[in-house]
Amino acid sequence: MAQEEGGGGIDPMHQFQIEPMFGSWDPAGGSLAFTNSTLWMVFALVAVWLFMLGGMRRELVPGRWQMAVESVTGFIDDLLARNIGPEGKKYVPYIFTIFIFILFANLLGLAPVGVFGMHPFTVTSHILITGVMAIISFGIVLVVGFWRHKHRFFTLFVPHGTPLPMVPLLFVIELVSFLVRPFSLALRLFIAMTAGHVLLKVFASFFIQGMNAGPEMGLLVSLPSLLLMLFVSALEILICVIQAYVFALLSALYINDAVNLH
Amino acid sequence: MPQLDQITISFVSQVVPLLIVLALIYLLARTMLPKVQATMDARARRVAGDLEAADKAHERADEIEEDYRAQINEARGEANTVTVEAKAKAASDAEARVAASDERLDAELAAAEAALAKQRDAALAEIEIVAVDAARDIVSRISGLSVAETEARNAVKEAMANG
Amino acid sequence: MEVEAARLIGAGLAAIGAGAAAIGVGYIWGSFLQGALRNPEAANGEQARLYIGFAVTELLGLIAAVIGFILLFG
Repeated sequence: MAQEEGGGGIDPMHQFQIEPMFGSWDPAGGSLAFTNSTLWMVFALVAVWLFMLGGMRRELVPGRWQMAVESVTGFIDDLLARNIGPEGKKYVPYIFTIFIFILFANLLGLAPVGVFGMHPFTVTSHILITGVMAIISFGIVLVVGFWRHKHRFFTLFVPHGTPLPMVPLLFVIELVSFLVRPFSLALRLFIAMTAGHVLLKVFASFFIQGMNAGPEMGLLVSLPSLLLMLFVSALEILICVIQAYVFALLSALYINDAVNLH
Repeated sequence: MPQLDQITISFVSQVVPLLIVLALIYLLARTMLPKVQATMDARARRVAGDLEAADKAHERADEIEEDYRAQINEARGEANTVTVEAKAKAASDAEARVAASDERLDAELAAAEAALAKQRDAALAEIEIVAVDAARDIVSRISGLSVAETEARNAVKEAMANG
Repeated sequence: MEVEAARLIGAGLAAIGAGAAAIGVGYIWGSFLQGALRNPEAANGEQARLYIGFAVTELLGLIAAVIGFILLFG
């Protein structure tokens, strides 16, 4: 930490700290502990399960809940059908899994449980989590690509109609852009979530510091930062949905590369 | 940044629960998605079926209406022919009756005429006899001659034919 | 303290990258809106491409933000 708790400020990075719920870290590392991250993952799992239960009513005329579940599944179905084609059906469960998990983890991280004295934790704000998911997507692309096309999968790196002298150069460029994909996938989600929460915490610390500095300072600083927090919170909800969609969309596109080879 | 600082220490504690949770959600998706999809498909099919049934019912209604129209037209035509026939029959009946009475009247007329002519002939004959007698009478009174009956008759006949 | 000051300055400079990405994202959405208003029927089909472009552009801004975070918070 560059900034210690010196300036009376709130450390905006503290919210990302992973702490075991029981006991403390084994300093050697590598041990399995039930952390706050695990707890919020379980919350996300339960939320997804409850959400999906609403879709199991299977009524002919859907209620609101069932309608919501059906619109999400229909949305994923449509996404894959549009980007991969009829073969995309196979990947619906996987894309649905990452989409719904990211969506719920993002939204739960914004949940105002602070008023009950709990600390919300955004599971997807950790590079390890997003990285593992990106690697799973990338692994599916590699496995499916090499399974279906064997060595012809390498033609993915040579666009159609490339002049022969350009082939080695383009091959290298495309290979690098291909290999960067999991990093960009992971980094995008991780940073979008981190940045949003840091922003919220920074405004929150402005608010508290302004209140502490007296009434005129409170009016001058706290009120605008409170309004900004409201606005940024709304924006964050939008970002949560967009990031989940982008992760699912890009995974679908990469899988499309593997399935259809351009 | 805790995300980077804690990578080594929390690696297992993050990755293992994540994989478990993802696997569970995948299972959820695997079991529930087809059912949700089936519900949606069933609804789509049901709606399509209902629409089709409605179309069919519409067509059937159209057919029934057409039938009804045709029947009405037929009935109307039948009624028309019946009335026309009845009219024609009534007209022919009336004609026949008129003709019959005409005939009867004609016969009566003829009979009456014949009777009249007979009577007139009889009357004429009587007049002739009376005239012959009168002529003989007149001649005998005036000239004292007696005229034969035949002669007188001839003269009367001649006069009557001329006069 | 000079290293500390340099880190803070560096973090501030990195924030410029976020602003540059904002220009790019704004350009993408603006262009999409322009195209969508001209041909609203085709807009829905291009939404996936819109989000791809948005994601790719936003990533660069986010990378700038990462550098800022790393400089600020270690």
